[in-house]
Amino acid sequence: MNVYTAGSILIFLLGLYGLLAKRDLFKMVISLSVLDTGVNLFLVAVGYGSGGIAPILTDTYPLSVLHFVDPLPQALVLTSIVINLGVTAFALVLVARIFKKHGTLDTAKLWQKMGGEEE
Amino acid sequence: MSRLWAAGIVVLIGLFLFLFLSDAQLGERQQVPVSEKMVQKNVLGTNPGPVIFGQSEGLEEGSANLVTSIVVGYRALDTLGEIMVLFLSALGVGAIAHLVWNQKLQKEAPSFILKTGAGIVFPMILVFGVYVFSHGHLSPGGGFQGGSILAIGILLLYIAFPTFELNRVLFQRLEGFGGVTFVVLGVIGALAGGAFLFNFLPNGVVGQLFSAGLIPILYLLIGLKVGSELGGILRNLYGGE
Repeated sequence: MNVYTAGSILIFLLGLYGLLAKRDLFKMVISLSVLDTGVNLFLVAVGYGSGGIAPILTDTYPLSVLHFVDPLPQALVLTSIVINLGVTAFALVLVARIFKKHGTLDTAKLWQKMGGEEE
Repeated sequence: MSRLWAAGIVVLIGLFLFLFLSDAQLGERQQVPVSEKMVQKNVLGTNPGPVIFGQSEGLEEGSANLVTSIVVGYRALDTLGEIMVLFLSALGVGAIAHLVWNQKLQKEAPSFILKTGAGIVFPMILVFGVYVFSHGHLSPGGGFQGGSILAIGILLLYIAFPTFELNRVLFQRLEGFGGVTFVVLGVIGALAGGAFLFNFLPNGVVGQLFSAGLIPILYLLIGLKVGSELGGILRNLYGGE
């Protein structure tokens, strides 16, 4: 494990903590975004090797047998980023709708308003 | 859930992850057979030698950007699923947004600098977006990135001109055109080569603008679709009907 994978796991844990500890829905959406970033960074870090170059053939690096970083995780992460964007946009609109209907984003208050029992 | 509980769970998962992963050789690039074959453009076993930029010709897959060659070449079907997810998300935003914003948002009057600057910068953003998605097979970038840049241009128009309203019909047509043509090209590939989204155009020389067969066309369609979709999301968030 090197500094990139360790750092990406830390970002993932930071997002997970926010998702569990925060009671504000908006902050939870932000935490989800942070968590996603950690996962994406982890995937890219797995494909990275020290001294690896970007997997693009150019005039400077014209041969496919050079030390490229692994392009497969990067292709996966491209998909993941787009889906993260879609999820975040949809979640934010849902949050806005909840705020308009109930006037609060606090999950505990929302629980009470929707007829849930006291914890 | 109280913060202590959350912190405890996070620490537990963190310990598990670090202990579990510390033995694995992460970050040390191993010669993964699947990736190696895609990098050498040798999945079908037809290209024994290395790929040379500007010289190799008639490969099974002709993109100089190896990430693009996976995303839109070997795994183009996954990309179709990806734009489907984005489309569903845009649809959901459109369905809920009008329940939230009944009228257009009241915007602050833009300053003179913003209005003049937007007029100068907007064409440049458009040109850069088109450049990014038309060179997706040669340089970093591609349809999603280029489409996002186009959407940023639309956002700039929304901020700078309070009366600006996106042409909904035109953008829906663009979006539909992108999606339908993508699938039609895939079906043509299936008829011509026996696989959905088969690359039935000549691949040309690696590294030239007109190379890689179907990839620049697919990225053009993805760029149009993503740009108009994100533009539609912005329009919904600004309270357009």
